[in-house]
Amino acid sequence: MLESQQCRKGPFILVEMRPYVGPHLEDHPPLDPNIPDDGLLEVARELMSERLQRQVKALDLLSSSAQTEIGFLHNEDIVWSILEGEAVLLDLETGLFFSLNQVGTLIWERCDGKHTFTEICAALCEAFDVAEEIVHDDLTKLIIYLKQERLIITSSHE
Amino acid sequence: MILLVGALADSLMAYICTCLIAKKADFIPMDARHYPEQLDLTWEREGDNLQGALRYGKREVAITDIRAVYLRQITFPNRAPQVDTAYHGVAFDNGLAWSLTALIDILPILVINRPYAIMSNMSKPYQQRIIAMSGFRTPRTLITTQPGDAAQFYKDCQGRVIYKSVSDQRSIVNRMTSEDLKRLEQVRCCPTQFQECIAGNEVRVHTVGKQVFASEIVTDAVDYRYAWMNDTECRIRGIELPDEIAERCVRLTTDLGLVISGIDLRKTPEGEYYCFEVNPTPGFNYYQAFTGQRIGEALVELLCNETS
Repeated sequence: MLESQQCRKGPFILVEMRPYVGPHLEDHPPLDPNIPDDGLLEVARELMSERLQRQVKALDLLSSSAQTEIGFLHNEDIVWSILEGEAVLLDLETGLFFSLNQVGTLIWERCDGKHTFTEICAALCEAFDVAEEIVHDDLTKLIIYLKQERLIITSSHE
Repeated sequence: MILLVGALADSLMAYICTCLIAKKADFIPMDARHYPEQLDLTWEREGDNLQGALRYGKREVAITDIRAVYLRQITFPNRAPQVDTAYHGVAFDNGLAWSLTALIDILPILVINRPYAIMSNMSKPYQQRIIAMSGFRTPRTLITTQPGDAAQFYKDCQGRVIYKSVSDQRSIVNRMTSEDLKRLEQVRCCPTQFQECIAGNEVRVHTVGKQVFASEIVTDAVDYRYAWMNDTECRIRGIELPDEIAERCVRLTTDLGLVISGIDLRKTPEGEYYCFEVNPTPGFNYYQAFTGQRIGEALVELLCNETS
């Protein structure tokens, strides 16, 4: 008797602690199976977060054949200075601070619209005596991050 | 041809479709809700030989032309108007899923991830056993419908206890408090999992084939996924794992029969790694959006390598 009364209160893990996970399919009927790629792309972009869209855009740019031509500029909302060899950035729009290590600072200083991705890559290889493949990958990661956080913009193709 | 199984309403599916279009890959994003009007599946097996066809909309492909599968979610089909009894409804709802999962389980191609391997996440205690065999530490755990046993466990762990669901049913992880002790009778209604609280920082590891992407989550929230509910700050940043731990993560993924995984670790102040769970269908886009890690790209590369 006692047990059945207690069970009326429900499980120990309360219902509000058991959230639904996954897409709300009732709000999104299945797409036409014959939809062309550009239609699919349009729907897909609407469903991705702004943050992820920025990352995809950065990836698109960085994996394009025109990569060598891409340069970067500091976002005009960013104020920055170098403290003990490391860049400290303040985003005036969000109020967020960022700090970059020595390698990041070298990259940041070359996001001046005058250096291309490839030139920054070469400068890093020379400064830190590291293989180009490794530098390329790390540089790509940081550029994606800086673009995601809207700290830099692309100075061509955008 | 790459077969994606899931709904585009899922942002991760949307992301993968976007990447595959950028790579000009041949793929079908298959939403099972189109069954039976726009989706048919027929296949036969004789020894190791599989033959058959998949029709999706106007497109029909031979089973042998499918080179890789990414299984995100089998959506349930829209119920046919003529199906109105409960019995036939269940058969209709599950029929395609049974056929599809059986096929995906035995297709001799790259499958991310096979349904049988995904099943390990349906029972956390079962998965914990495999995790423990891989060399990771696992927290002391009690699963009970007995209020007295739960109270004793709370006492034994000096009140440092969390609770969560036993199955793959999502529950927000909660720290047990003295207030909770007053309503322990409710564990009689549903087996509940209690675990000792492990101090340290959350580390989420995504493995894609042999590649490892680790993120550190810094937050005061008990369950960082829901830190926003209490306005608690949650920061995620990419980190490098010690080689031994990274290798262990890849090995654990393989041991579970998985190709990709999302592994929940906690690094204690003493430098030990506890493992709580391995997610076989990880929503990695959340983490990569914060860290810039190229997890999705690695996954797409893996799928595309099978078709080149």
